[in-house]
Amino acid sequence: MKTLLLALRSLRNRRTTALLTISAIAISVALLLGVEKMRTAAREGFANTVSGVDLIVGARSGQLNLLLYSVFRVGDATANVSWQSYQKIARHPDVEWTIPISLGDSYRGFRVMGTTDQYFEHYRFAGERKMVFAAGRPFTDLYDAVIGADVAQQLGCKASSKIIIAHGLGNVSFAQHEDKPFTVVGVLERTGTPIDRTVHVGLEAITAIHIDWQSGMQALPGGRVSAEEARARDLTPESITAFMVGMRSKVMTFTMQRAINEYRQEPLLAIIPGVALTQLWNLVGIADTALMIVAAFVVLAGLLGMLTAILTSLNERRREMAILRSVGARPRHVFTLLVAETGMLASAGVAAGVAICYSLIFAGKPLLERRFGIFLDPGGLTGYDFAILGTIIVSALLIGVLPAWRAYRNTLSDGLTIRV
Amino acid sequence: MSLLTRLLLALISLSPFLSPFTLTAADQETDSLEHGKHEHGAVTFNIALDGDTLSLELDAPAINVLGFERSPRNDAERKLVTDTHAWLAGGREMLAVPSNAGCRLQSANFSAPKLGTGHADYQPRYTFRCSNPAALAWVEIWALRKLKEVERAEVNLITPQVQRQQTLQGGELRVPLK
Repeated sequence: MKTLLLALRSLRNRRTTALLTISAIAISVALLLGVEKMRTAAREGFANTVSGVDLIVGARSGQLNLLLYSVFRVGDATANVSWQSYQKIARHPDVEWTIPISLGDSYRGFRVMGTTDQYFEHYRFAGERKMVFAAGRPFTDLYDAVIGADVAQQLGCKASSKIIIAHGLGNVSFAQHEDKPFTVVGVLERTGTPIDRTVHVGLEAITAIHIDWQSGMQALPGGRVSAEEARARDLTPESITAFMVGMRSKVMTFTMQRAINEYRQEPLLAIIPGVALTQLWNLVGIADTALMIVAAFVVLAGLLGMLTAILTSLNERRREMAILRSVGARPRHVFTLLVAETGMLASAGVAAGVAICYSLIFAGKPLLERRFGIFLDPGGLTGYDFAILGTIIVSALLIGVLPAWRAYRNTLSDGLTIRV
Repeated sequence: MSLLTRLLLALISLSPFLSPFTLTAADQETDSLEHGKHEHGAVTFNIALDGDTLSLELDAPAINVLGFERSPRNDAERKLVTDTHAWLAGGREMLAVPSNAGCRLQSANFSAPKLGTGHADYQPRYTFRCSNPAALAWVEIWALRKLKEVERAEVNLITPQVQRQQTLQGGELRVPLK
């Protein structure tokens, strides 16, 4: 105890260096903890992209490919699913609901997705969260569109805006569906998922805008079908890109998955989104491990900075040590004194680091949610966090042994009359 | 083994050679040339829980169930096949759950694969009814203890709240359900 008090007083005497050392450690600890918190948030955010959907069915390709284009709107389908197969599965007694989706067109760089009102009804993200309309309502008319928060924000669209969908993908497309403009009837609240970057229209609307298109081109003026004429046509699609399935009982999910994967009339693939997400995370999760390693090295640099500071101060403190010895301190007291000093510096640094990290999280939380859709849950310190922080303090104590050993050696040989 | 069983086994092992000649035109149209995936050392468990129903499916290559993937060659191997099939058909010592969950095996769905015709897979399915499903915090896959030389055991889990994949390693048996 006495040694600790002595160490504290000695530190107070050199408060500028001590404070600088503490801040270096604090910043590195805040970074490490922040990276760890972000990592957890990213992993959860990732897993939260889709929920409530039991199966996603598309043309037979890869599990990840299907997940990427149907949920993340990344990449493209290898083939479509025929309407007959979709109907057959949708009518199965074990199936409660289905959400058909049709992709392929875009609006100024944002993907357009044809679907039904079942999508707003059954699709969930982040556990049990449903899509909420910031303005307007789901589509009811053939040429109605519902846009995500990013689309609304970046393009300045709002309810009642008119939009013209481009044929195919890309920001600038020469092939436009300008004869059949859509009216934005709803804007969705930010979800932090790819929904924010999607323009949703009715499934029939996708058929309607392509009704007079052949081999990637619109028919010549004589053969064109106007927006109003298209309403009278049969707009049942021949095929869709993929569909999502909700089962009456979760227990039947695996059986249905196998039945679809072994479906003979058409090569189909059914995936369980949560399972595919786990696999995808295992792939992309490597990046956050790399980030964690970088942060760990920053902490190491902080600790080495502390070591440098203490080692340089040792020479100046030879007289301090000699006086301590003259009033009866044993060499081992000097040793403990220095180890205690590093321990205190590191603990203060860790505590300050945790404080910095949490204040940053609380300060940045609203901004992160609004701008990036990252839902950062500050939470308490987990067991893993404590293990990390404990490791830092223990490493600091181990590092402290080096200057302590040097001081110990010095006090054995130095007298009171040393020249500093 | 009785003469009848041997005869049946012989017939079954012959059937792939017989089948092309017995296919009708309609069959050929729908008959697929696809093969399911088959990876030695890799077994999959599908666990689903909804309400009071807990279901378990196993998908394992015969080599990891029996230790070989051909027709049994001697009495010891034949006994092993009989015993293993009895175990799989009975569904005992497949799964362990917290005792207060009150789970009982309701049905076991098992059909023995054809041995000696190339790759063979075991795909039994079991359904349990639990009187207190709220107590189901975990299950332990005891079947893993009986399987042989499993390199990778993948568990796909579905409950109303959770959908995930977990890999069991190093003799680990427990799968949390929450």
